[in-house]
Amino acid sequence: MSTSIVSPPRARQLPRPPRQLPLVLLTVGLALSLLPTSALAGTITGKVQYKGRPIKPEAVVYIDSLNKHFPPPSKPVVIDQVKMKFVPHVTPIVVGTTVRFLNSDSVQHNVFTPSKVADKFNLGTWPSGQSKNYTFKRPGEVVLLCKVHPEMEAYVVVLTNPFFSTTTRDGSFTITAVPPGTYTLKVWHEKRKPATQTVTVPASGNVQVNFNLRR
Amino acid sequence: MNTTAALFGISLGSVAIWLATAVPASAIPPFARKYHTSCLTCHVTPPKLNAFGRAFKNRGYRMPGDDEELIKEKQVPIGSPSWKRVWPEGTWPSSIPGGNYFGIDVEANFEVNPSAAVTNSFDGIGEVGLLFGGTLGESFSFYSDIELFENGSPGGIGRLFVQYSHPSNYFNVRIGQFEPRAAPFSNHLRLSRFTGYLMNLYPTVPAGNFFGFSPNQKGVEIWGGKEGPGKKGGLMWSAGVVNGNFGGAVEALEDSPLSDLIEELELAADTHGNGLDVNSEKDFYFQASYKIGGLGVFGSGGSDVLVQAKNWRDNSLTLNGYYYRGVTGAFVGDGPTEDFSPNGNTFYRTGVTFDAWIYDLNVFGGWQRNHDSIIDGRIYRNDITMVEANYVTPWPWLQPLVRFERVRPDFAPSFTRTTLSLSMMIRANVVFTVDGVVSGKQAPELRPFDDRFRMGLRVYF
Repeated sequence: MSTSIVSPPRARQLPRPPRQLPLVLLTVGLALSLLPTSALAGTITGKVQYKGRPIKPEAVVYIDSLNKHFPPPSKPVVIDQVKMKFVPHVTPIVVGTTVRFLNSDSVQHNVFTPSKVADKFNLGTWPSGQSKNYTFKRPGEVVLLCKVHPEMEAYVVVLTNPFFSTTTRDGSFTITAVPPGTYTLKVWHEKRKPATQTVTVPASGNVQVNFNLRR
Repeated sequence: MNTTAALFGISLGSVAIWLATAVPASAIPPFARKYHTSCLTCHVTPPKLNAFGRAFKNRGYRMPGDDEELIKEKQVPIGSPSWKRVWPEGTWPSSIPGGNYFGIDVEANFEVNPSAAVTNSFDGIGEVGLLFGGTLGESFSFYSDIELFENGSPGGIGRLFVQYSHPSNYFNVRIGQFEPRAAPFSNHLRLSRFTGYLMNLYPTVPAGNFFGFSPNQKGVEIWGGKEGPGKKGGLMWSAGVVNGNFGGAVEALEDSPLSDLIEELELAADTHGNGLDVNSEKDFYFQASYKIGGLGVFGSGGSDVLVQAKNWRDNSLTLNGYYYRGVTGAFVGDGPTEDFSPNGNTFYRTGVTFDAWIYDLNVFGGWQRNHDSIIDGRIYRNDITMVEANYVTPWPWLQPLVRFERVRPDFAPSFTRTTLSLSMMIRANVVFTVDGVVSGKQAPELRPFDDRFRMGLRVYF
């Protein structure tokens, strides 16, 4: 018996990477890290409804509890008092934001709150053309009232991050520049029960989430 | 003059004239305006309420479900809702009706009475009523009907009250002038306007007691309820304290053969009391009912959308019991010793009723015992029974009615009375009715118990 020694077939070999690949990869990675985060961010859109109709008055849709500190804006947010109404009616802000309260009416107005998260502040009463500031230091819902005009009412919703949106007249909302990931999305409304959904935001593009609030 | 004998001998039929007089309706256009909805949302045929309408009434004139969402004529806020958070350092907020909270009801009739001297007559515009009602904030409400004009004369306030409704509905209070919930059946909500329920109104004539649940009593009433398992049916209860003043029969009989007697009563009452509230004693009552099946007594389990088609169907049975006790004046003694005693008559009215809905048929009725006890030892009893059937035909604007009543006093012959009626809703707020009253052989030979017929038109706007 003869034994033939057969050499194993020559293993298929992968094409050799070019010698320049490591350098290319390093260059691309460095370039990507320098890109602004919005380039790696998605958008959350959707609608908030109640009994099949756009929610009224406006609701605030926001991402809850990101474990990161977000500095407040350097410029104050403005809430005016016009034609015996607070304008806007609902103002979401990041904790630490200063709100400037204007009085554009011809009568005196007052701004105070019974909300404990804002230390039940009372800015006093001031005439037309003047303004007063208050910095909101704790998250939560703050209702604004006027001691001179009891029918006036507004809300400041103090949040821990800037990823929020107020709904428009048709109930729609848009939260932009959201880093990719999975989050808890919540809805605040002055009358309806809060709602929560989990949302996964892609690295780019849009994800749609709709809410139907309950009484 | 023997006042008691005069009362006994003359007054029965005259009182019944008043019993047959139209009383203000309870259909109220301001609610239709407030919610931009048809009368038929709450009424089978105005003023008869369907189950949803009863729930609306039980909720202090607020819609079951999300009332705020259904309001089309917005309230005017008196303080924004968030002022609740300021209380007690601020005033609790409220609201008042923003739109027109008045309504008018107009009634015109043509009556035929073959036994009368004038056998037939038009009353022209026989009645004009002013209706108003609404809510004040989340907890308070008001209701009133005022007869501006009735049978050629100015009228007066029928009912006028303010009501507090607790959010739980376990405890509610109303104060003012109202028809007590202890009334076996609401005279204001009856479908046939021709004849009032004898159980509500029938006086004890020989005792001079003209007490009636209707049209109203003045006082305070607490009431409440709890829906049953599965939010079906449920318990309703009430208790009240009222003056116990004479009913509307006194005013209606001023031009009758009883006018002298009434004048004597009024004179005696003025001497001893406060007008027709003849004594310091207060009447009290309590009532409880349980509804088996059907819409919850406060409207839970119903649709979130206002429904006007076949919304009268509410297969259910309601059992009710009540007790009313009062003290009123009476002439006691005889001949020269006859005197008026402001507390001369301790009386009670007690009974049980049922109310059954079976698809398009509503049958209800009951039994009531009237008991009057005079301090000189006289006792008068009267058993009154009634059964009525209303049917919503396949043409729902057409609804026949038959009512059978039996009065069995121990101081006069028993008699029966049968009322027949056909209501035709020409529009939801325009109702044409044809009524007939036929009394049994033992009925007093007096005008109100003649066989009479009437055609009438009611308009609400």
